Amino acid sequence: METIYDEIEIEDFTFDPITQLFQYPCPCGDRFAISFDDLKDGEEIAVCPSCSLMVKVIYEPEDLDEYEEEMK
Amino acid sequence: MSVNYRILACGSNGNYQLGIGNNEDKNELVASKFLLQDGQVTETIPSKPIRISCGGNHTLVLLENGGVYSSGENTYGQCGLPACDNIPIFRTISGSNWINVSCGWEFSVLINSDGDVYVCGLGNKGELGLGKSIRRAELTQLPFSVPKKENSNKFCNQDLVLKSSLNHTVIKLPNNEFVGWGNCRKGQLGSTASTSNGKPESVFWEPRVLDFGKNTDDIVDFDVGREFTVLAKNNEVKVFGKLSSEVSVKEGVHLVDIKSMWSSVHLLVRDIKTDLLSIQSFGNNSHGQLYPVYESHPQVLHFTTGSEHGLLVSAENEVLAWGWGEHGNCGIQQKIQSDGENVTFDYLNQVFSGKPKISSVFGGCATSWVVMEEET
Repeated sequence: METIYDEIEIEDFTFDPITQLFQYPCPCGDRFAISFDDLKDGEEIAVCPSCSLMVKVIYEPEDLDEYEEEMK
Repeated sequence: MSVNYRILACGSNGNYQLGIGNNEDKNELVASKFLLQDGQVTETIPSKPIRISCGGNHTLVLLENGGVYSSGENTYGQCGLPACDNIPIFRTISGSNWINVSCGWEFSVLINSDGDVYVCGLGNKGELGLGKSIRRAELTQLPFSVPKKENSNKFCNQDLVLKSSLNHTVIKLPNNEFVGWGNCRKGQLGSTASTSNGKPESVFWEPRVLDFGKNTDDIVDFDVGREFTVLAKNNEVKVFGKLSSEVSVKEGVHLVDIKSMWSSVHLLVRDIKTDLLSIQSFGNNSHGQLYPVYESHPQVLHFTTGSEHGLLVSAENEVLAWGWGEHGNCGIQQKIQSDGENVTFDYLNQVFSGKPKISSVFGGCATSWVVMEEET
């Protein structure tokens, strides 16, 4: 198990209703990303496509409702 | 005899933010290139670089003569130049009387000697300070200017302190007031008011005087992290916003300098008995960000921080790095680590030694910068 770099609240992520991705800046300059479906499935680790860092997304299942609305 | 300067850089370079003309990450120092106005490309600059500030993927270099050069990602005009993909080597931006610059994630803030404040780039959380309706701008003047001093109508670099992190900016004015804007959801911009729906404000869309509580008149230094602002006066340190640890200055030392990574705070302190400088760290240590504990430390002259790594200049004219160095920003790993992947540097790794003389060091988002001073 790799070390988790940090824990980030879901409100601090940027959500794109088209790509259905939650993103948050990574200290390497790229962005951590996790999909809406992964969060819905209970996955909570967002990964960076350019480095090995990972963050844990802090959220409650009901937090996802407002983002589901945005996707409609 | 005259003095020339060169800037050497290593680390993350996917958007040409090192200004070396290609977009490969570097784990050894390489000289940044500058496009002069006469079309010549040079590695030698005649004016001293006094600040190098880095955003997610862009870099601003402020020279002592008031010029600013930039390189890296410029999708939103965050380099201070008309928006385009990337700026591959450093190019000068308009204006010749800049006294301070700072970069956040995808934006930059610049102040000139008249106290006028300019912003550029992208800011969906108030980073530009241009109000709720303007989220993207090429170099634009803010309605806010630094208040004029008595007896003088020009500002210099020492008159004010300007810092930006991910989504917020703080300026310490000559009258010791603090002004800031951007994301304030974690309390990083001090006290916030409640909005009409009863929730606390999450963004300051325009510059405003910040409330960091009583007795901020004698704050001597401050820095900003990803979601916090840390203020220091005498031997007292106070954090506003989100940091995973308390910060305190130990007895028997005098606080000299304070610097933040994205998720930790680092104090340069002078031992009252031995007069030697050392570093004390507080916060996230997931990747060796806290200054390593040794029995005998190198003699520290000065230090700086990047997003998640630190750099110090030793009395031996070396640059030593620690923390997260996955993109080559802490140099070539000389001590095999348990992860075996050049990610965590939980010891001081040598990035540079020898000649010429090191003038200063700066850190960015997984980038490291060494300014060299050469007499000719």
